Amino acid sequence: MKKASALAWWIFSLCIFIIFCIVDLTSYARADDSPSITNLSIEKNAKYLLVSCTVKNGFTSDIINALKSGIVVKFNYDLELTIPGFIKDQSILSKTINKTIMLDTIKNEYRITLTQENTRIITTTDINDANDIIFNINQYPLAPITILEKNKTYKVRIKLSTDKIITDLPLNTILNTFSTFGYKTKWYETNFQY
Amino acid sequence: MISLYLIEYFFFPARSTLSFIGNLIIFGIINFNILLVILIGFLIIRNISKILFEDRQEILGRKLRTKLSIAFIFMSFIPTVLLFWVSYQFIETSMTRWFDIRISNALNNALLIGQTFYQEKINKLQDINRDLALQITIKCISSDQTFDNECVEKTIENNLSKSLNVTLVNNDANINSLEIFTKNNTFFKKTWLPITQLPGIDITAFNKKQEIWIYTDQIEMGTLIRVIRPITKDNEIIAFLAVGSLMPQETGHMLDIIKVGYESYNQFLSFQKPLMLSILTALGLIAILIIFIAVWFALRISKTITEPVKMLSEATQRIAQGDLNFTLSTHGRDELHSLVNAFNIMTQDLKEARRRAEIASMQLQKNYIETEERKNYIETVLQNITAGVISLDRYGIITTMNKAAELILGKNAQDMIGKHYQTILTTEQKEEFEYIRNELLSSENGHVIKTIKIIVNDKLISLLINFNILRDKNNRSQGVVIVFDDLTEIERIERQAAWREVARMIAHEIKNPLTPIKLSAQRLQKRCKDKLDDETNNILMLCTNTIINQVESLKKLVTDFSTFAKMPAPKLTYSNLLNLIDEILLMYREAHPEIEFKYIRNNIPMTLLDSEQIKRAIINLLDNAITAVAEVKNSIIEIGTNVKNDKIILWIADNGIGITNEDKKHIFEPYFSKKKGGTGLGLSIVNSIIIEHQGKIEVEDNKPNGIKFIIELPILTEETIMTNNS
Repeated sequence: MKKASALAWWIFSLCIFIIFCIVDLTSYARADDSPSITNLSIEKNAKYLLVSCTVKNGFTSDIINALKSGIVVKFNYDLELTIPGFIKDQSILSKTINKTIMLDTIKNEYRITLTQENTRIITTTDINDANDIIFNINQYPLAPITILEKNKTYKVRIKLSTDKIITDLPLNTILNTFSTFGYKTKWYETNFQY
Repeated sequence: MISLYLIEYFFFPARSTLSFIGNLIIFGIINFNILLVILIGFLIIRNISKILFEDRQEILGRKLRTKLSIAFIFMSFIPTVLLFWVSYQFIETSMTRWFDIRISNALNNALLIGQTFYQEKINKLQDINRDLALQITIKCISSDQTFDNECVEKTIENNLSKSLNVTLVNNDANINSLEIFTKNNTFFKKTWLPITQLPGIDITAFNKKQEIWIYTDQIEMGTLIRVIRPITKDNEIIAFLAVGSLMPQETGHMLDIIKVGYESYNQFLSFQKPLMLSILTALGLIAILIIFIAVWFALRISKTITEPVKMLSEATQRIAQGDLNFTLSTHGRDELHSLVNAFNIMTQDLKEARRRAEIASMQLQKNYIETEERKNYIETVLQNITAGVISLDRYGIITTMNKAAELILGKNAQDMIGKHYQTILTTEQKEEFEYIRNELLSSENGHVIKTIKIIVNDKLISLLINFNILRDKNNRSQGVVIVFDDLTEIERIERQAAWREVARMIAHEIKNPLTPIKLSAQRLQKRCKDKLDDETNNILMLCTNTIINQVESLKKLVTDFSTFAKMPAPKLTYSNLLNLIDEILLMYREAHPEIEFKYIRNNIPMTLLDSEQIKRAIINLLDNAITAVAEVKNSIIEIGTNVKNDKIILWIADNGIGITNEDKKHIFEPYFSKKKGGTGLGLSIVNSIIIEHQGKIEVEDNKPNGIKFIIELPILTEETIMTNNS
């Protein structure tokens, strides 16, 4: 009986591993023109530690097609402030910036919703404007400088990912499961000394 | 199930418009399928492992079970795969039709129409807005950047009436609202819609880079589209002019339908592959589930069928091994279980039958043992009696031959049994046997006794034969039993005893008068020698010498008779026969230099023997040999020794004239002599001496000529003598 249970657990684990591999591979298997974060820089003003960065190739052909199909696409920037450690970094804080975009196909107008401190909606008919709005983080106040210590090295890292597709189609969840839509970048990071 | 939910939530966070319950149901179905697949997969692996294990262990019923399982699996596998394939083809075809290029073109064109319609409306509003804004900027804004309200109203009214007229007449523009507002307040507002309050405009969202700004609001009558343009003076925004037009609900609804249709179509198009994959997965899962369930059922059913068969097979083996003390347990009412019940009844019957058979067998065994014992006893008696016994069946086939018969007849029983008696008899014997058979058949008591002589291994033996017809209870002839005794030795001993008695009587009767005859003859010679003339005296001397010589001859004859008659018992001492022969040969070689004495002197062990008697025997044999070679050139006498089969072999051969086979039969009998002046007792005495030493003497032809006497003497020790005596 023990042997049977062990065998069942082995089969179960194998199934999970296969699912994990499928999901994970679809996210990482990208060509060179895959989205990437550039110009990650850290500044500070009187109150905050400010983070700026740009995303290259953010609008992939999949995303463009999805937008043209009226699909709402949500971009999530995950930001983390850590103290570098030997094995594991010590997390100080983490924040998420959400930017949602959709295209009104009749009006040919992009509607961008920014969820930072306050929710803001911007509309534009120009895809380049939309690209600038979505893929530029300009002096985002990551952390108050009061929490930082002098002469200490910190690490800021950032990652961009898209949510799964939001559609009104039936079986949305199942479709998402099998869809190769969406991406997530690796973690981009920079160290600085305060 | 909960673990799967958690994993799925972790990997596929649900952010769809579906409700939580909907997600739960969908993943519930998937998880249920996964769990079923895992469970049934486990059961199948377990069962297949069991089948493989049984196959390796050669467990009974495995082949039937494997065959049934394979049959069931194929029966379920083929329709399921076929159904899967057909469903997949059907769905693929349907999807291909859904995403037909004509539908795509129609939807694209519809969208283009919608976009064009909307854009034209915007363009018109933009034109009106631009004209109005320009006129207001030129006419109604003072140098201190303040509005002349009266001028604004007038300008608007003038332009509006013109525009409205045009709009109403041409029906290509429909101005429903006009607003001029600064950052702080609205100082002009006019609407032709049946509403009291226009929706507000958030001017903070205005982007300076934009020349115009399109603002849409859903109101009760439809969608209010407002084109907003800043009114600038000296590159400074003083106010905003908003020109609005209502898009009726029906038109908006139509545009929405076009939009939703287009978007849904494109979404479906972009999800074509995942959709196919998900359908394929669902179909696959269902197919696998069906196959797995079918396989599991197949294994269960095959087990249900094979289990009683296996049980019966094992039980059969147990019965074959003699175990009847069991009952097979059975449940159910199908034919297999009826078979098991019948098997149980059969086992009980067999058990009872075996009990009876065992009793009968024990009785039979007892009888058999008794019969065997009796048979063995008879066999033992038969084998140990000195009389030869041969039995023939009613057809004349030899069925029994005991050891004594083998010894007497010099035949092997194994070779004789099974043969017809006539095949082993000579022509003369057949005739004699036929005569006896007729006599036997004609006898009243079925019993005939005969004395016959036959030659066995060149020896004439005398047999006393007793023929008896074997009859069963019904007095029917079952064959003949022949019992016979070898009388040869008895006859020889009797004959020798008779001869010895005769010799003793002759010696006694002749020896006594011989001495007075000899003395009388000698006295006659002495007394008459001087008294008779020469002639008479010569006659007397001749006669008396003849008498004396004949008396001497008679004396010798009488001495031989006496010796033969009074053959004493041998006085056995440990002696070396070789020394004895050496001594005798030395004497003979000197006495007979004309004869070549060959001596083959192989070592022989010392033995108990009477040296004097053996010496006499050897001398007798040598004398015979010398006589035999007297008239032969290159006369050779060979004497040799050897050991064979733990017996001392001594042979004396000559190259003389030899003797006939008929003479060989009688050569050791008393008074049989082929020699001139021979008494015929020499070889009889030799034979007696050798027999007294528990040995035997035989004669055969010497090669190339002459005869050869072969003496076999046992290697006697005191122990062997004691053993033999005991």
